[in-house]
Amino acid sequence: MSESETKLPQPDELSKREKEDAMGAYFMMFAVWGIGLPLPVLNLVAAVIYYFINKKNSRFTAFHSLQSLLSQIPVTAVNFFLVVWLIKILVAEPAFPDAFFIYLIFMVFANVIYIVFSVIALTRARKGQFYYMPFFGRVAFNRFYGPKAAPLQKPVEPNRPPEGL
Amino acid sequence: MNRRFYLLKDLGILIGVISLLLLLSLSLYRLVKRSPGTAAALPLEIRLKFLIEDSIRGEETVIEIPEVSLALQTITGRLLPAAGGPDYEVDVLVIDSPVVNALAFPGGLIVVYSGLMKRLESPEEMAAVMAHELGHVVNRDAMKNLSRQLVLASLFSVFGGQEAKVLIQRIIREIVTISYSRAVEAAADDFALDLLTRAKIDPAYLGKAFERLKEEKEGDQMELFKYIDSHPDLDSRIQKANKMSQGLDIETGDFGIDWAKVKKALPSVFEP
Repeated sequence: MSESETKLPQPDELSKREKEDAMGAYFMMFAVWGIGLPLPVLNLVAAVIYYFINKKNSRFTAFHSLQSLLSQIPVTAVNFFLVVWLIKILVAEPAFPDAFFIYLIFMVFANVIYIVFSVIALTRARKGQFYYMPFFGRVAFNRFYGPKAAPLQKPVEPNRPPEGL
Repeated sequence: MNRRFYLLKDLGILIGVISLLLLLSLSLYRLVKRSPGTAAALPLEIRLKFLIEDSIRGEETVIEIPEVSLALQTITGRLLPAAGGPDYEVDVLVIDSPVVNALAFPGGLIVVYSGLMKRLESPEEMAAVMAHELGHVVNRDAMKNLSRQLVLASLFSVFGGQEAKVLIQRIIREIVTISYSRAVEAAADDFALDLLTRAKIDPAYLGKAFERLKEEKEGDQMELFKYIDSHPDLDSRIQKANKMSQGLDIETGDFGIDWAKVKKALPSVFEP
């Protein structure tokens, strides 16, 4: 779908609340990411909750929340695997294997890239702009602005007088 | 171009970036490992070695009898060239104690209890035990054990509080009572058997040393046989040493050590 076919909200059309909620999707992740470091699944749980709370309010906020959630899945998987591996080594292995340190460096790189992309997305969301992370941006955009995008809320049955009146 | 094409293109980029990061991590790790910076870890081990040595000298009675020191020097002098030389100097301390044990500490410090020397019947058996301890030295098992404990302690310290402090104190105490996993002990055994073969000493002496200690353990009422306690599954290890010896035809060269004289030179205060 080309841009001309899609009606996208422009920065001046979005409310301050929408912009702040969209920014919050990334901002909140940093806070939970820090707290959830010993157990990296925590931030994913927080992202899911944030997404489900905000997806009904605004497409713009829903897009950024979903992008934030999706982009966290691979990073969380990488971090979670490292924690599981670390516990396994401490409990059952005689020493740290070389592969562990290679994976540790990889984890640091992956987290740094995730942070950089999230900071860019965060600042754009604050300004009421779209920012598309590779792959995740497309998936999130398609979900809320694509041709098969579902309505945000189910249509409410309008109030009508009783039959015969 | 349809949406699916762009989606697949993005996915391809993502997989490419992940592969690139993995390659970069591998190269970076290799670079760090090869650089002289890794060797900088050595002085830390050596500093630790001196700290532990000072602590042992302060708390235990170290035997410094020329005959005993010379015998152990002769044994290590034959083993070390065959071991390819560890990264640091190996020092052996003999402690006057009835405890039947030998320990390898960080930095190449080996501690032998006089109780162990008295139980062994030949310099070859002593060499076999020393070869096993050298296995721990070359594999840096003490340092690896210590770093594992420290990582564990730092993880606990994330939660902070008094418990973390207690844990760290416990770990420091644990350096002195090192116990290794079965896999680490097996690796040190393999190293010892290989080293003995290269040093022209029959690997069966390792089995003999274990066997002698095992026999005497039955009469042990004072829990002195810490060496056996920390070395589980002794029977299979004796069998392994004997089996290796059968496949080889090694004529053990004489050490030129009068072992009975060495044992006699040891203080007899704790003689059972």
